[in-house]
Parts: sequence; C-alpha cells; structure tokens
Amino acid sequence: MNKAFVFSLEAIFCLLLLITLLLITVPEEKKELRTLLVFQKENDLLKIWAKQETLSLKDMKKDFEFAFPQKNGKIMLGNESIAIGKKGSESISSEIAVIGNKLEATKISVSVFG
Amino acid sequence: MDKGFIFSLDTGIATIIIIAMLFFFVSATSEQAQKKAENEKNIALWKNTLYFADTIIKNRAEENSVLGSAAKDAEKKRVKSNEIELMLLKKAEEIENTEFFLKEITVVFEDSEENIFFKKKGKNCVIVERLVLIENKKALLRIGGCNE
Repeated sequence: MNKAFVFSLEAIFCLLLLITLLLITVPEEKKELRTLLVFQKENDLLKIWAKQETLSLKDMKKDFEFAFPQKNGKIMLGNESIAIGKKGSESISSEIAVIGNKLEATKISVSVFG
Repeated sequence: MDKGFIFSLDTGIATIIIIAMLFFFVSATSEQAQKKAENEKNIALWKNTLYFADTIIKNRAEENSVLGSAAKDAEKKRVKSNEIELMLLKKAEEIENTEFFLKEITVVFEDSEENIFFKKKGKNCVIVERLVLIENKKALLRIGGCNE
C-alpha cells in the first residue's frame, strides 16, 4: 500500500491562502471617459433642439444618427417617442424642459443605449 | 555537535508556498502600480481633450481662438454656447505643453468636412466629437489630443 501525503495544519493554511490569493480579482479601472463624452453629446443635441422653433421626431432621429452613428437610442418629445435601432439594457439619458412662447413646458429626452 | 534543522515535506511545501505567495504579491502589486499610472495618464488625456473641446464651444477668445470660438450674440452681449463662428475657429493655432498637444481640429458637416488643422505626429491620441451649430447648420466638431 502506498503512503499518502500528510499535511500539517500550517501547510493547509498556506495552501488555502495561496488559493485565496489566486482567486482575488482586481476590478478593471476605467481607462476612458467615453460615458462623459456621450453625456456631453446628448446635452449638445438637447441644447440645439431647444434653440429650434419647430421640432419633429423625424428630424430629431436624423440628428441623433448624425451625432451618434451606429448607436441605438430613444428620443422622447412630450408624450411621443421614437426608437433608433434596438433597445439595450443600459442607457445614458439626458432630459430638458423647453418653455414655449405660451409658457408651456415640453420635455425632451434622449437616451443612448450601451 | 550542533543540531541541524530538519525540514519535513509539508514544512518544505509550506515554505515554497509562502515564497510563491510573496512573489505573486510583489509581482501583482508592481503590475497594479504600473497599470494605475498608465490609466491615470490616459484619463488625464481624455480629460484634457474633453475640456478642450468644451472650452472651444462654450467660450470666445478672439485673440486666441483655440481657447474659444463660440459665436457672439451682440444684442444680448453674451456668447452663444454650442454655436461656432467658423471664421474665428479657422484662426486656431497649435497648442502644446509637456503633457498635451492638439493634433486635430475638424468640422464635419452632413455632406462635407473641413479640416482646420492636422498634425501627423502623435502616438497616444484621443479623438472627441461635439455637436455644434455653424451658420445654422449642424456639424460635428472633432478634436484630437495626444500626450505622446
């Protein structure tokens, strides 16, 4: 019959510590500020739309596609909305309330899906 | 006669494991420190480029248009944020310091694009785009910044 290995308590502790150390995963740090850039571009879109006298979802969609080529998103103008591409699980959204000539407020929001 | 040390197999293994752990720890710490320094450098480049683009579209500096080319509302006596005066932007000159230099300023319209200036050099660069109005036409202002 072959003899088995016998580990002492401290060797077992060391093995456990080594395994724990190898299992530790350090979260990846952010290397870019792409989220901030998307947020800034959304705000650019909202500011430009706020300056326009008339707004239509069709034109807004065109503007979105120009600002965010190959990105999916959603635009809301008051109670109406339009989707651009597929809906994603995560999104970066911005909203603005535009006060019209008759002091009526219209909410405009834009979301970019990740 | 002096007594010597006797290492059993498990004590030997435990010693090797401790040495291996220390090695991994030192190597991981140094790798982390290196990554952190690199990340900080990248983040600084992103910040510089983003803030620079923001400065151009929100400020107006007639003597140095690279620090602000926003259009002016003469009646209200204020700058029009996100509206660029192309003639002023065209006067933009290079800007460079030890940590950052400007590689590119381009205005992209829906049907054409106009390069204000472009430098070939630059290894580690970031390009950001902002949406602006130029003579009532929507355009993307592309700013490229580099740190190497």
